[in-house]
Amino acid sequence: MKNKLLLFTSFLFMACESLELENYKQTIYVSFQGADMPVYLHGNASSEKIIVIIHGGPGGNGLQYRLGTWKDELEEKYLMAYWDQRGQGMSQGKNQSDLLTVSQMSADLDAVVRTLKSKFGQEKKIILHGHSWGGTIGTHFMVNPAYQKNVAGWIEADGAHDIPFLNTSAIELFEKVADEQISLGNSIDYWNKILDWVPGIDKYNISLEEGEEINTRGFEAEGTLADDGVLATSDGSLEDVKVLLFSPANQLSSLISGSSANNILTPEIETTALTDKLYLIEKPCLFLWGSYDFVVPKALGEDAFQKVSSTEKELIIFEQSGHSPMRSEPAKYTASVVRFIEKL
Amino acid sequence: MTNPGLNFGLEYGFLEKIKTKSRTKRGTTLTKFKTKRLELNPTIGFYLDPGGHLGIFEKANIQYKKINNHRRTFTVAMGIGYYHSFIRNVYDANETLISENSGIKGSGYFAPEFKVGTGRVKVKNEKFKGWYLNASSQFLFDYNSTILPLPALELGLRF
Repeated sequence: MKNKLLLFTSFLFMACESLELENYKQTIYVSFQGADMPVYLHGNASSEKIIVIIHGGPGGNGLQYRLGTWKDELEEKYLMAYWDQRGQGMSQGKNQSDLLTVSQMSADLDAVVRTLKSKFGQEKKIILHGHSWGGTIGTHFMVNPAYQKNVAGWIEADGAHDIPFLNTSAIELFEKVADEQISLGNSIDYWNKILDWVPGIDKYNISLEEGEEINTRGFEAEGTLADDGVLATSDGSLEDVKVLLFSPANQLSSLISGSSANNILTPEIETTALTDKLYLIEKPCLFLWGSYDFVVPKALGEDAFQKVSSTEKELIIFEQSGHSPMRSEPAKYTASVVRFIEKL
Repeated sequence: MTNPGLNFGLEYGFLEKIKTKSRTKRGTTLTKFKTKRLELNPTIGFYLDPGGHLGIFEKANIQYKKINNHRRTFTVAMGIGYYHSFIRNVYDANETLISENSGIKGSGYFAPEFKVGTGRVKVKNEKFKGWYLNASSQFLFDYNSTILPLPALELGLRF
């Protein structure tokens, strides 16, 4: 019976796979400590390099990072592994609440890395790419020497590796940009309201609720800057709608699972500070940050660039970007990633 | 966003109440029927997410059906169920080792259902005894860290 079911499912899923090396497309699952986590493989499997995408959120999903044009050249050159984290995206498992912790997800990422090496060969070079909350998990992974040894490089894009520092920096950025925009005559009412709001917050003692408000206002501020032409707009297209509609990531399931995971993880995240451990990172690093990122300000990128022990490291600031430079300045972003990876 | 699937079920009426209302108009008597039924409605089915998994579900509902004089039906049903997802290309990882699982894996969840629907029943000897359109949702308990609704639209024929 089990074999019949296996044959049946294999036949049905076959059409969705392409095992041709240069145009590889396959979904695999990493089953680890109660969770079955999908890893969507797309791109060039003949390459010796695999980029693991660690999505943002918590509550996002890996395939959200296939939207836009930034991944096109990367999928041509390398194999991209879009991972759905535990309790998020299309990951499955029963009663995951107690396992939704930063250190568990760091261990999950290690299982993903080891799985990719086991499947494609131990000689493959794995490069981690963490965006936003993905920067928290990626950094947590990288400061563990036992995990770090399995990867060839670390790309942190607007990564939230120190939330107390993030909140303080965000308040400072709000003040600075508000003054700058008012002097330029842009959205004066909006920025005046920001200047009225900022003094009410003790930036060295930010509560959970204030942290969430900073996050919400951060996205709002980026929207205002985009409306005023200060930031480049996202490279969204009809292709994105197609990707979303036909994606194996069911957006409703992803949203519901993700919101629950977010609620559970938030109290831990708000106190997560990895700055003191950044010196443990020795592998080549690339830090990519939007200049107007209010959600995770560039101060974190500048600080991480200074503090990691890596001898090969680079920091690139995207002057027309906020929290997602891969969407607002995709050509420059991809070129930076390719340049970094080619040196590994 | 949407995945195709198939669902097979039975409708077994165990309680029925028929109300008739007769009216005489210009010497002709018109009789209107209204039927209310309680039915057991066990179903089994599957859906396929071609990029990810196969979902198999079994449900046992109690269904309230109202049939009006024009043989239109309105149904509300709820009951218990079980859902199991099947995935392939699974790699089992532990602290040190990775092994490719050559079989299929997945998780099962307690999954009660609620559904509402409409349709039509036929009384004459026709090929199909009617059709229905249901909007339903199973609720997968302990799915990750939440209860996950699994909404579905069912278009069906009664034999």
